[in-house]
Amino acid sequence: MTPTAMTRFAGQRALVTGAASGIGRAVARRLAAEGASVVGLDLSRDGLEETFDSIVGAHHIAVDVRSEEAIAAVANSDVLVNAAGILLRHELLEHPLDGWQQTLDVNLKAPLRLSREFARAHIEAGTPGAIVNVCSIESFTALPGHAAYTASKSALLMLTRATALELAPHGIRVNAVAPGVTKTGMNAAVRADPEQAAALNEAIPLKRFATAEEQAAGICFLASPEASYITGATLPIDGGWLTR
Amino acid sequence: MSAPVAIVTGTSRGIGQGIAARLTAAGTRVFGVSRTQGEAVQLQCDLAKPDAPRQVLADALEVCGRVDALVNNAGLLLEGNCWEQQEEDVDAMVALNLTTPFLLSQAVAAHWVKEGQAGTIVNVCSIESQVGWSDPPQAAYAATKGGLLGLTRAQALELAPHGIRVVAVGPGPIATGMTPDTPELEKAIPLGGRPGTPEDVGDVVAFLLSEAARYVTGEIVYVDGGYLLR
Ligand SMILES: NC(=O)c1ccc[n+]([C@@H]2O[C@H](COP(=O)([O-])OP(=O)(O)OC[C@H]3O[C@@H](n4cnc5c(N)ncnc54)[C@H](O)[C@@H]3O)[C@@H](O)[C@H]2O)c1
Repeated sequence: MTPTAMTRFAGQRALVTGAASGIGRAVARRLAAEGASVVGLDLSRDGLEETFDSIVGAHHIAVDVRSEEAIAAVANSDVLVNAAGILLRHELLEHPLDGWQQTLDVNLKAPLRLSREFARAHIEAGTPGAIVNVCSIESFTALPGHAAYTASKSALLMLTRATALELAPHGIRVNAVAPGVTKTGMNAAVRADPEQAAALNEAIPLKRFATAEEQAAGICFLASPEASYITGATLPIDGGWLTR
Repeated sequence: MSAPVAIVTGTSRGIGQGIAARLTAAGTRVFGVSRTQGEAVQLQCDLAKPDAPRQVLADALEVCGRVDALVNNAGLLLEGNCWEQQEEDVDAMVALNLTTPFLLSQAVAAHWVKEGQAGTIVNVCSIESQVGWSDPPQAAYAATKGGLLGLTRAQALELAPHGIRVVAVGPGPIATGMTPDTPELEKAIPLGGRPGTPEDVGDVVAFLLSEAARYVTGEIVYVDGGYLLR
């Protein structure tokens, strides 16, 4: 569990998207455990309630990350974690346009709009801030049936670098993690199939999947003052996937 | 056999015009598509319209009888601070820089698979598929070019079993309407201290489309005079 002695986020406000499940949930819980006052945002109200079950002082907003309410929720946060994301599996030649557009809207445009709002508020107030985007090993490589996802995560990687460059003069850091296969709802079906799970495991040098908490550890490090000289970086948390 | 045919988008000026010129010189018949008129434009249409990609393929087949290559060159750069840029500008760049290549490649690749024919796609990315550019600021543009590189990899992986190669070029600052030449820019280019020309890019595209590049797929070749070395 979280080292309880850590209070890296004491007095800070953090907005975490995708906080109802998986990586976003682990991030929200860890930030709260380390002293942040957390606002969790997700489509799933039930999932949000479960995330913040035993946490006092946390808030949650059950809205679509693409909505105006989501944009409004950015106000006053010191930390923004863009973890909401979707993976729609379609063969390239049959990939429907609406699935392509939905993927770009959730995985790229929502982080872009939230980052814009976050940056605007901090530049106006003259205060520093930290953004962490959840990219993927597919920001660097490809997997079959994931064309829209791969494009969106590669776009998010460049959004991370380019906004880091633009916002550095304003004391706003922007970083990302690139998770490998992590045990969350996103790939539950794949992991439940013994054959597919074994093949995936075989491809991972550490020979196991990541936990959401392992992703949260990296994300919270990048968001924390310990990473004060890190900006524009993308940290693979992938059990060695990208070494092959 | 008749000359190979390449659909090239955005040929009315700039890099697209240079690509069309070099491919033509290499013996390829170019079917140029652009929103505005130009010497190398065979079809005038707004590529960001959802039905444009199918129309482009149908017209190219009708006019040229065959299609062997596709160069997704048309692109839109709208500058703006990442904390101020308007929604419409972001949407316009996502539409033309990402969704148009997605749809046009899908239409052309489906045609090749149906015909049992090989083919090659070149996506014109940018050094901004790799690094940011802040003077003037343009983070959303960089994001679309990063996405186009990701799309290149995804297309290359899935289309390889069909004998279809998908590759990218990443131009650095090129002397076109999009990038004005300045002394600072010249200092930033290790090779010759000059911005690139559309023909510099066209020659690399011609190589990537040629038989000489038959074992290359999913890769990007930066054409930047060493800019990314700095
Ligand atoms: N699990 C993995 O193996 C893996 C690998 C690489 C990257 N990622 C990335 O990690 C991030 C978190 O994914 P996860 O693995 O925790 O999956 P998950 O499905 O468990 O969680 C994603 C959460 O995002 C929320 N969400 C999706 N669309 C939304 C929208 N429009 N508005 C609001 N909320 C929305 C979902 O409701 C869900 O709670 C995603 O960006 C994903 O792409 C995951």
